[in-house]
Amino acid sequence: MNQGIGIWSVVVALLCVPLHVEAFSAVFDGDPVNPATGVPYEMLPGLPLIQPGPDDVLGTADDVVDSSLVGDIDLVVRSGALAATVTIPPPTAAVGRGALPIGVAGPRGAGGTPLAFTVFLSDGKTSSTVPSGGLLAAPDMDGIPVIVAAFADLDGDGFIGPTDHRPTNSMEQVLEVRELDPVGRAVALFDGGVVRGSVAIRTGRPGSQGGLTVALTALARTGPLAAGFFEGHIPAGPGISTAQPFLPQSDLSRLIRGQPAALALDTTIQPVVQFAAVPDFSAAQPFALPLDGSVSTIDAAVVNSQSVTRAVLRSAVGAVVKELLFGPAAPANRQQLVLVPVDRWGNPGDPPPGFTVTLRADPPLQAVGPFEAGGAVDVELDVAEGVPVTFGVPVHTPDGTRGSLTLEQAGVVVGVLPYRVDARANRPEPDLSVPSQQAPSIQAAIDSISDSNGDGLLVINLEPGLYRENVLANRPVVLYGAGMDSTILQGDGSASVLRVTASNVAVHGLTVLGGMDGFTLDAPAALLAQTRAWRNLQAGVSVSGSAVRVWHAESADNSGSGLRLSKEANDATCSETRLVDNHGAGADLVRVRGSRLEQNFIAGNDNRGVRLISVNAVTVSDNQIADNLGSGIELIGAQNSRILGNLSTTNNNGLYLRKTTGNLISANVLDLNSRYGIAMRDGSGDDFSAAPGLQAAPGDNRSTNNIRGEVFTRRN
Amino acid sequence: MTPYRSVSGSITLKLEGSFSRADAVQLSLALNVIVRQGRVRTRFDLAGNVFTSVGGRSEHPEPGPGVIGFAQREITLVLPHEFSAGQALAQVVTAYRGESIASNWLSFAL
Repeated sequence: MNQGIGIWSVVVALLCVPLHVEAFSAVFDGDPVNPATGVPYEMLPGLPLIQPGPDDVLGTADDVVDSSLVGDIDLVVRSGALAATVTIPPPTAAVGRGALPIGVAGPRGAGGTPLAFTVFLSDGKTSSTVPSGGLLAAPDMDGIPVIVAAFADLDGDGFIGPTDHRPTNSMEQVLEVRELDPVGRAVALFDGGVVRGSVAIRTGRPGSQGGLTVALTALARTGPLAAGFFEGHIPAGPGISTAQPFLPQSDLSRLIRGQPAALALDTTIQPVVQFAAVPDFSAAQPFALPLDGSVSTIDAAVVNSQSVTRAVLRSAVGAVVKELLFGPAAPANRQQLVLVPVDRWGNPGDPPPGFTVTLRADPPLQAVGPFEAGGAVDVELDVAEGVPVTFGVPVHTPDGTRGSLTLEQAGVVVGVLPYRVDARANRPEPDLSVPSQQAPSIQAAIDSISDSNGDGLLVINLEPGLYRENVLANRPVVLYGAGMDSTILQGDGSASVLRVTASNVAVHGLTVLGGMDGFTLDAPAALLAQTRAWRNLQAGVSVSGSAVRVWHAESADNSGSGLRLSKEANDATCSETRLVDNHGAGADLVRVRGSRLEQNFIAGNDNRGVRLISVNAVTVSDNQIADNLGSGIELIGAQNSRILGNLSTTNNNGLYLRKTTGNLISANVLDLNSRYGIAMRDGSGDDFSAAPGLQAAPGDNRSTNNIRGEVFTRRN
Repeated sequence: MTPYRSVSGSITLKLEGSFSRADAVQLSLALNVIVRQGRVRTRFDLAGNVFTSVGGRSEHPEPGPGVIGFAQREITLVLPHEFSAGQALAQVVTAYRGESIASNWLSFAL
């Protein structure tokens, strides 16, 4: 909507492979140096040297750990605005939780109270009495930006990130993965070895629950700004860091998103860092950050939520539910959710006395528990935890039934959730569950499953939790997770998290992350439904099999494209899917025929929204494509394809065509793009209207408000 | 831009756009939503404050609740009673590095 805001994709890369520079910061004095490059090693404090293995990607299973070298302390962050002292003070967290500073979630000026912080450059000269070292007022670091990131202890276990404190596959571990996503970030500049600033936090908990504990961490790059290094916007020397809850991604090309811009006090950081995968679960443990002050480089604080303004429906793990999808058969005809009072920023809060929400469902949807069935149901929320509510439609409700669920409070609509009934959401009886004695892992289940209930399907139920494995689906199985927020598969970065090599494999309701690709679908007729691919090292979903269907899924924050169709990925369909914030294209179709992209939301991607290269008879229709770097829809050498009814807005070009022929481009809206609504060159025979005869651009497309112009043509 | 009407007639407006919730928090952006209908112009800030002016006269505060939700790419607000069925316009405005930044005006029917 707002182009200006949309282009603030200022990005930062820290702890990345450094360029060779002539001299290094004084912070590296005495530190080990890579003999091959002469550059100081980048290491997290207290952890061994971890370097990429043969795949040259840090954070994958072949990483090499050198325990003979251990990182020292270079950088220390403290809660509060502290004076520069010769000895860096201990963490406030060491005094106890009661001593932690308290902030309020949200930005300053909108009810929030950001957390003050102080970052010190350390000389690394530590002892039992000086655990963080002394202040190093290195002049070479003056003016260098530091990023402070805050991570929330969502499961309340006193740690940030995955631990092995409890059995595997628990819901708490799902929350621990979510803890690796920062809830606040800020940039400040060194002056005399000290940085002071404040960080606004997005997430809080009500005071009645003691607030939400967050960890503050810091990282920076050293060295001068070199013109040849990201246009002089990012310091060219090695990175330094406090402890972090993950192994930071090291590949600069995976971190620099969009156009780099100078780091300054008021620049945004998207993303702060991408965490790399870890080789195995035991290796993850060293990265978990305790919040008790025992790690001397970081500190903690508490964040409360604001006053309640509304209520939302959440899943069991706290994810906001924005749409309800039911199957016409049990058990998929019911969903249990939690009605939670929240503040303006979506954080749970203490409801005022008598806070009552009216649930009003279009038939046949009903609130079926714990209330009596009926049209409108009043629910009094008297605790911040909320109230569980089960919604359902009768068995055999016709496929395609739609309606909405309205939430009203004090005579005001505070939320509306569309619902629908779709047979694809049905859930057949499982033959096997994971984890179980027979199948402790997903791979074991695939290898051993038989059709025990005789329904002709090999159905595997995946309980909620975190599964650390690379999975090969080489039999025609149906995998049912507990939902994309509840069942998470984490790969080790060496391969796809879930690779499909058998025909007719179906995957429902889970998230894959940390893989080379998230999903690789190499066989025909695979189905992904209600799945998410998140933060994988290459594509979120990579398809080379034919007639694959991706439906009602999400692919986000992957280092490659959100969806990539290539080789034999003909006649594929991707519909009602969110392809957002990927480093590559939202959807990338290369040399495929007959595939369809329909009703998807494609936004915030770094290398075009939809890219069609040498495709034939592809259909791209009714998609919302916004805020991508590069063109919203780009066709290179495409033939006989149909681009129909899409909205392409706040991209570079709304629609870009080159060397295309015989395509129908009709009824699209191309609005507010920073270059042209439609730009094309070297094409022939493209028709820009559904009316009979060949019509030139814009035809029946609506091209408006585009900065450079509505239509640009050359040699067509 | 999607309006919802409660049983009592109150109108809630959901705006979907490319604004970033994370950026708004980090930078403490003074983000405002402006909704116009005829001679009525109402400004909503992220603190829940609501200010209305009629016919170009000076703003006066309204009781709210104003903005009740700000999620990723989505703002939800409640219109004051001056708004009624018919066409209306909405715009998101803010300031960054001393410069005013405004979205396009979106037209919609209440």
